[in-house]
Amino acid sequence: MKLLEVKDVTKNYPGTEILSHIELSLAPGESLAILGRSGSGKTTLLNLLAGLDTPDSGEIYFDQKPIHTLKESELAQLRGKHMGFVFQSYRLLEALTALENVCLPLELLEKDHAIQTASDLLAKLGLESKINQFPHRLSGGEQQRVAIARAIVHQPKLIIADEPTGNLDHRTGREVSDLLIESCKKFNIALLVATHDTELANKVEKRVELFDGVLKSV
Amino acid sequence: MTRFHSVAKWVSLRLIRKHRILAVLVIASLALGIAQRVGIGLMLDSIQNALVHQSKSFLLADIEIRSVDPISPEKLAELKTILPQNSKLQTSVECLSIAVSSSNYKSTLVSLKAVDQGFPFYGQLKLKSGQVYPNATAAISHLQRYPEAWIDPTLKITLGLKEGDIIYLGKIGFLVKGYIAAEPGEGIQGFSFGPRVYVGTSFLQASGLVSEGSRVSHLILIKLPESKNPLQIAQKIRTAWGLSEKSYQWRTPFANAAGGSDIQVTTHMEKAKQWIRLFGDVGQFFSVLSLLMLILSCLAVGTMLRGYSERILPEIGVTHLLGATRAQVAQTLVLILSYFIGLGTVLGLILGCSGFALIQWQFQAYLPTSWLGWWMAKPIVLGAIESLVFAFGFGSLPLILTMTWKPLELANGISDRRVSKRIIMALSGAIIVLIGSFFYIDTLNLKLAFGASVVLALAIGLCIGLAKVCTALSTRFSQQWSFEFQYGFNNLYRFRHHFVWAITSLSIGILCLSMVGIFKSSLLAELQQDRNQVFPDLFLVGIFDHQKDDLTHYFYQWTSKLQLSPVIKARMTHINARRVGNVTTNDEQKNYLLNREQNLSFREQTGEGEKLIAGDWMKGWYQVEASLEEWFAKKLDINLGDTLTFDVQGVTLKAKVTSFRTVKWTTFKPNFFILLSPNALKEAPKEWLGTVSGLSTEELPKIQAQLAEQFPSVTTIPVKESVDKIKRTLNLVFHAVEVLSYLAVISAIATLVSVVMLTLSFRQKDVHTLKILGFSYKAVQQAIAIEFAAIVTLSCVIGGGIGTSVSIWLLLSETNLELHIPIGTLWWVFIGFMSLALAMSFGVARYLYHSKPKL
Repeated sequence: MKLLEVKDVTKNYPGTEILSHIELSLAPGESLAILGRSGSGKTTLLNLLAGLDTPDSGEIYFDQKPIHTLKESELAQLRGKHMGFVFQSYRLLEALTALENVCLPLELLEKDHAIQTASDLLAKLGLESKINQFPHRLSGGEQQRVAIARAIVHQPKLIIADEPTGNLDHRTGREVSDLLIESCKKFNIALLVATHDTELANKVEKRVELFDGVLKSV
Repeated sequence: MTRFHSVAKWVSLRLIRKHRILAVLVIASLALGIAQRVGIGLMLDSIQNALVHQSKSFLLADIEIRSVDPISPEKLAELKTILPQNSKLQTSVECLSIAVSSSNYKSTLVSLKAVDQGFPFYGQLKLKSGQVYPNATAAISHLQRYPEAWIDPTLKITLGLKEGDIIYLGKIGFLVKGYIAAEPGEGIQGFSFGPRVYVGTSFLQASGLVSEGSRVSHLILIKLPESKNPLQIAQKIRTAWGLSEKSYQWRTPFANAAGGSDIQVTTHMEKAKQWIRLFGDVGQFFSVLSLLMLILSCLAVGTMLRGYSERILPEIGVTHLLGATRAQVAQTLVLILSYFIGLGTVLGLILGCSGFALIQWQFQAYLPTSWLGWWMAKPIVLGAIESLVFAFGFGSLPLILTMTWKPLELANGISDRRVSKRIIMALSGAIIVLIGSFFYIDTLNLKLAFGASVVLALAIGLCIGLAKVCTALSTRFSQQWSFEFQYGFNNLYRFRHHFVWAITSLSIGILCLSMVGIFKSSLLAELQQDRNQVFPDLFLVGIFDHQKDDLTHYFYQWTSKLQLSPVIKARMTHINARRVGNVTTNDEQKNYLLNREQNLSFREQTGEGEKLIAGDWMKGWYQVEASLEEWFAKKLDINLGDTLTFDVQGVTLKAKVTSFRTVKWTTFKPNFFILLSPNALKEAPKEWLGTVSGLSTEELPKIQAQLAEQFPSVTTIPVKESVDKIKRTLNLVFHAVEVLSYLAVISAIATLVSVVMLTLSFRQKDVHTLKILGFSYKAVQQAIAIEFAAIVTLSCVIGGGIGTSVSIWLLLSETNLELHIPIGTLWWVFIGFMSLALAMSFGVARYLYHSKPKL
């Protein structure tokens, strides 16, 4: 059974073909790295897979549901329930504390004991002393760990990570990538990661490379 | 340097263009502040200028001699010998009278002016009959031969009069010839009790309106040759007739017997000074208010520029990193500031002048006004200088602070919020207010300006403090609440450095609105008739002993009782051993109260609306006792046990002060500053003040008409009409203050909008993340709505709270008014602001959510 299936997807921007006839699949709990140079179309592909953009042609299925045909509200529900996101620039809400940021997905799903669950998770990730800090008080590594906590706290089926180590130094990047992969394995979450970082890419099960909009196995 | 100057120029222009909406807000906010300051300055100077330069038109002469009785032929002959050759004289009589229409018997109080041939010496009288403007000089001459009247156009509606109808004034019916289209000194006439009616002096005696002791003013108007100095001539007249220069009218039929005089000689220059003093108090109030509004709008500009400087920091910082010196960076910032303030000032001056023209056009019938001239330079230049001081001061503070940051901080847009810098900012702000107010202190009242500055500083300090506490508290308690509340309140805390000023500005606007609302409703409620307070229907002034019984009998027919209060004219000569006659202190009001003719009265017990607050009510067994009104006693520094000496029309009377009373003047019952023991004044020559209540609205016009005919010398004042006029005037003043308060609110809203603009990029990032995480539009909308609603609620609580507390304190400590909080109006203000905030929040949420997020 496939969690994510991409069939013959093409995406163009005026005058440029960004993605060409992409075929991709991911099983539950499986991890996949998408490599590629800047401008190769990695982020565009992730936008399509997250339902933030629509393909010009082709089909995308998540958990056997056709993402490309879903309405805006259905897509929002799908992301909230079954997906988690980790960004290069962390994207924590500056107005909320670390704990409140991690609580967000649970709040959205109206889960009980959200604060307890979130604070337990943050403690496991070594952020116990930082739970009431606002993001601007945290280091880059700490912010990314909070972002990972936010991505896994509701135990989604898939985590989409876009250059999760891009803004971090080598050592912190390694710690964060280990944490991300271990967490996914522990909770049986599929991971789709777009990265330049070959060290990170080597840690995941499968790797593909995007080159001029075409996907190749590595 | 030259090269960098051109770079700085285009960089600054580019930056303004990039953040143009913010630029528009900064300029608009500044322009509003300057516009109201210049507009009000122009209006006040226009009035003052008119009073000085058109004083001849307002007085209608170079010198006016005003008296209760006609000037005797001997005095007139003496006057003619004093006046230089080619001087011209006119006689005129002014009084209040009831006018009755012969066609429908409707009646109203009018301000009657009986004029002589050649009226007026100065100014322009325009009369209109049908579509024709007749020759006014010929028409006035005609009045001497025929019983005709020219009437104020408002009487067309009030009395239903038209040309050819008969209007009764006293015992004579006058033919309405037409309407007054314009009269000299029109602005001053706006303060008269009733609409104007012109008749000829030759018919006055027969009308019965003028008899010995009746409440009329006889005027002699003198036009001097151009070369003669009115002040010197007036002094000669005063010396010849034994009058003091500073005469406070001693108006009584017995004045001559008392050795005093009821004659006042006034030149147009002296009159102008009196009018300027009269307008001065109101003018000063508006001037202080407009200064406060200007400071507020410049504070708003400072807030916006602070945000603006943070927004453009990375761009400016890059030039710094690339090697531009601090001075060069400063040059760019100063250029930006100059563009903003230059444009704002020019726009503000244009708006201010246009607003002034509009107000002048609207109010020219009520206020003396001047048109274009060099007098306009002073308020425009002064307003512009004040505005530049405040705007440059408050605007440059954040920019100067920016200059103290390190290059990398600048480039990364990391702001430095050290406490020491905040203290420097606050102190600099205070210095700017002082420097800006210096111009004001120089031109107006030092004490008032200082007081206003202290109040403003306290209000701002309190608002900032409370706003900070509230925003901090909001985050503390939000953790137990839903996401929408958490996000809304935490955002409030996150952007607190911006929001504090938005909340402060909004609070002060709301503070002004709530104070105006409370004072307006308390004052108007005081003038409102209800079950607890019934005004008399008529006030009858100048009733003589021989008319008492006839009038009592007359009202008996209407099953109404005439309440009579004795009025005895006297002059206070001593307080204890201290002589007060012709006392001059710096307090003009005190001078007037000490030296004016006093109306004494007596009654067996306290009257309606009076309350004894100190001492005992008069027993009067072995000595003459006095009961004084509290404010009057305080103003003249009179204590219980003091002895007051009065000259009661030639008879010296000593009275010991044994009690103080508070008087509720708005009951419109006969009340007096000084009451003496009944026994002491029973035999004194007196006139009576009458009040009548319980007349129906149908009866009232008929009674007024009959009184005008049968007792023409008695002035009848319909109380309701007079109260309505006072209410209209009060409403006008309150509207002006309300407009200023709304300007403060607009400025506050501009600040709020600018804060939203400044935080938009952060919000955009947040909302995109929320959208990616699966949050619905509704959740985002609610979160932003909660944030905005919290701002309005905080502002209303702070502004409304302070405004209400200050109003209550002022009303209870400084006035005798009963507190009346217009809860309905305050609610509407709250609902209005809340709706505006919610509408804004929906707009922001919609804009943010519907832009496409990207990973």
